[in-house]
Amino acid sequence: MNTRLRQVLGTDTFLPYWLLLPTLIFIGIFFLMPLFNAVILAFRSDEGVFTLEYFQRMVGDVRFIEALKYTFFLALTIVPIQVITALAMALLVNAGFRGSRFFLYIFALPLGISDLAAGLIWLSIFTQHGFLNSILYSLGIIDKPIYYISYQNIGLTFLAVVAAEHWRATAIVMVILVAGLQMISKDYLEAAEVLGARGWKKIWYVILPLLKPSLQSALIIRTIFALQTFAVVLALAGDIIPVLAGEAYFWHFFYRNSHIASAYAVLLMVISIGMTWFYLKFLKSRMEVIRG
Amino acid sequence: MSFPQLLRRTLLYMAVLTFALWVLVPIFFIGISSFTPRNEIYLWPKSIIPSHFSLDTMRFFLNSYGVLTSLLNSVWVALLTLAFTLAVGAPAGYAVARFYFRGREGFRLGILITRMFPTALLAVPLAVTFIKWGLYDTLIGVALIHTAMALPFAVIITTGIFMGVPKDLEEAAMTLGCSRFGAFARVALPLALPGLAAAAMFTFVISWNEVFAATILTVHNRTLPAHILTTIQASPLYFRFAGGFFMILPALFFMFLIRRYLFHMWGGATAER
Amino acid sequence: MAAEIRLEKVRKTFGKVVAVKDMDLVVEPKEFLVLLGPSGCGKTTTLRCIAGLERVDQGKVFIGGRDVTALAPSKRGIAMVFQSYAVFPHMTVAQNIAFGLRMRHTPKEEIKKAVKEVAELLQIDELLDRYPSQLSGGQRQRVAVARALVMRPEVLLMDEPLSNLDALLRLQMRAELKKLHREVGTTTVYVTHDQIEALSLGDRIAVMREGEIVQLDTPNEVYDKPASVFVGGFIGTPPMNFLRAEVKSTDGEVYLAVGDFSVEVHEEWQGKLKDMAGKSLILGIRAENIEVRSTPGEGALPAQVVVSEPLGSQQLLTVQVGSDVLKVATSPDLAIRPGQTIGLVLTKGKIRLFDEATQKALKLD
Repeated sequence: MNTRLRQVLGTDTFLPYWLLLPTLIFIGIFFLMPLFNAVILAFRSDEGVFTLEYFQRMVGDVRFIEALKYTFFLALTIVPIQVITALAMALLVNAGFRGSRFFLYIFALPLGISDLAAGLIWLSIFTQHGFLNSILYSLGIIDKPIYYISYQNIGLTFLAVVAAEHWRATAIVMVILVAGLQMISKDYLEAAEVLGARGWKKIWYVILPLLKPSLQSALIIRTIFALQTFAVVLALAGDIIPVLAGEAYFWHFFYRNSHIASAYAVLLMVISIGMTWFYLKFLKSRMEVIRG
Repeated sequence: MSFPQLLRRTLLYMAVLTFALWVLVPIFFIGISSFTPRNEIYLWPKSIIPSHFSLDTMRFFLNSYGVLTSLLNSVWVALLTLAFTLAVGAPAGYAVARFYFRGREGFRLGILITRMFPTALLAVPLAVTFIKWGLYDTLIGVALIHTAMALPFAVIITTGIFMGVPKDLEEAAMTLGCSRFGAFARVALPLALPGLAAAAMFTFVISWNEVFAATILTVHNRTLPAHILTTIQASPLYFRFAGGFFMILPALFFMFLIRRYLFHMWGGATAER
Repeated sequence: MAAEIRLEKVRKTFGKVVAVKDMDLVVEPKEFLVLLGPSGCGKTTTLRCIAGLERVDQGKVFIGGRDVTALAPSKRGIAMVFQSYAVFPHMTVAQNIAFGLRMRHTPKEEIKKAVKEVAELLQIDELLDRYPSQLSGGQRQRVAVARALVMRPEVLLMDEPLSNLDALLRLQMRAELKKLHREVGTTTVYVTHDQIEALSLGDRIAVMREGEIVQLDTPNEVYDKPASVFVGGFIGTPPMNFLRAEVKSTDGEVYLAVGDFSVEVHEEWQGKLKDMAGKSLILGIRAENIEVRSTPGEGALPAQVVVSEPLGSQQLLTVQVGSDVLKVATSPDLAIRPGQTIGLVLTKGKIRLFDEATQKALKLD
């Protein structure tokens, strides 16, 4: 493999490193250094002493457990329904009917929409005099507005956030899956049909197993970003639903405490790494079962 | 067409249409909201289509304190980010696309991993560092962290773009009298240009949409998303709707322009993994 | 204008794989040299080392007596035709052909004239304003050749230029390239894995294997007198037949034993072979150098017909001799059925003998 690559690509000795240098320097200053500093900030007091104080204060905060709970809840609710929705969309546009390309672009539209904008879009739907209540009223289902977003009804508020985030970030999963579907050789699908696998059977026994690498990367990417959900929640639900990234923001922005904000950031990183490790291990072992 | 075929076709189109409506209708709603007269936003019962369309809400939004400035800030930051990202990332993309070198695979993996870390992890400590460096609350400071966030995408995308330009072409130019750089400038660059333009627009959108870091790193010189986020609790609903609509406009426009490249990019991003 | 190319102990490695192994090679001025070998034999890498697209690890490259080892491709006075043609898609045919001259800052008028001339030579003067996407594969190929020739290079390098054309076009272009070379007379190194192309085009053929030249000779020599079992098996359709044979000597008469059968050898070889009595050898013979008799008889090797393939101008038989399988070319008029036992007579002067251990041809001439 390496020999092949060496023959296909050039083997200039120094030029590639010069070309990489700006990126490496940039990553050093704007990625590795802050990463290092975040850990320092989280564990070292202004006097320069190692301390667990910031983590203790973080954990002791009234909103911490709530934030941790909702962050996990959100990720665990949104990611599965997103993958299922995205899979359905991807399989549909991959069916190759007239106009499928057009629908593909429409499905991909939310890719360009920020989390903050998505929150505001769904706010126009879920707010007290918003579109959802207006529609329900004109259908004669309600006569007084329902308060979807309120401390009194945290369950509904949570669902509103899920709806907004589901709407916004499904596109990326779909695009990854469509790219994966396009890489599946037509030969496999034709072979499957010749062998009598059609419809659901073809999807279940042929397409899904071949799509596994794409599903895996979509799952990892989405889970990591779902754990960072922030602006959607803030725009839609204010501080009714606390999340970890939002707490980091509040601690830095309102309470001017970058130590505790960093502690949240480090916690988020640890969770992200843990989830990625979990996926890699879990999905890999499944793969081995299939092969073995 | 037989009956079962017709049935399947109909079901297929119905499903696709349902998803399309699901995507489009909320965008439509925020559009309506932004052109509804301000006083009608709070009416109950409210009709879905307002009594008349007016620029009242948009005018209010654009005239609100800080909006125009932050809008300009956003454009500047996005343009700076675009310039930094391509200047730094495109050479790396070219190197990965063209050369075999020790550490090539490691570099590709490493650059992807940087994107996996939470924004908060970069933004909070950088705010502290930027205060020391005099970059806190500056547009360049925001552009730099946006560049750090967009860089992995830029490297992956430009790698794919340069891989799409056959190496033979550059080699042919070299046998015809070009230097290495001349061959790149005269052959690879013109052929990669549409792709690079798409990468540039994608970078622009990343920066335009980013809110967390922009909020953490600024006090007065806010970008539009940062301005909206920090004033959100005190703003009337119509301000928020107009803001939301305004933020998605350029993003949707660019996404439409580069639609053909989206799969290139994300397909590439996952193929590397 | 035509320069000599000289490689001295050129070595090129990719990681652990040695692509070119300490190669010495001289290409005479105006010569058409073909580098021929299976894929992965290092022929393209050798060409790219001459072009300067690969930097050699060791050794030296001379073009026209000048040491160009450290020079960039643009400074070597070469022009190259690529397998993929590498015609610039963002330039018209005229711009493509003019590209090299423009890089050389040739005056505009001269460029125009030169482009026109070369375009006429290659019969693409009608296409000058088109873009490559509007051209067929064969036309693109002509543009690539024109773009190289217009430079009036000292050395023309071609990397499998015909491999992407369909069979008929390939035949036509092959003849045209030969004619072009006769007219232009540039020293040419031509890489191919197609032995027919090599035989038809080359003044000399360098057969390569695993980074080394195993034989460098005229096409006829390479075909008739392969230097090793590998060359005999690689060149010719069908490839050379090989039989196990043993040198025997009775009453001062030296002959080769193939199974129970004996094959006479050339009088001139008798002396040298005498010393080898009892030694096992490999006997090589081409399909067309075996005479077929419809019945085995005196002096004919008995063989059983397995398959008979009529190929138009000839009939190709697959026959079994003991445990060896041979291909024999014969007249299409000869009525032969599978299963039939026939007699084979090997043309005495066309037999090649190879050492069993080294697989190399014995030096008997």
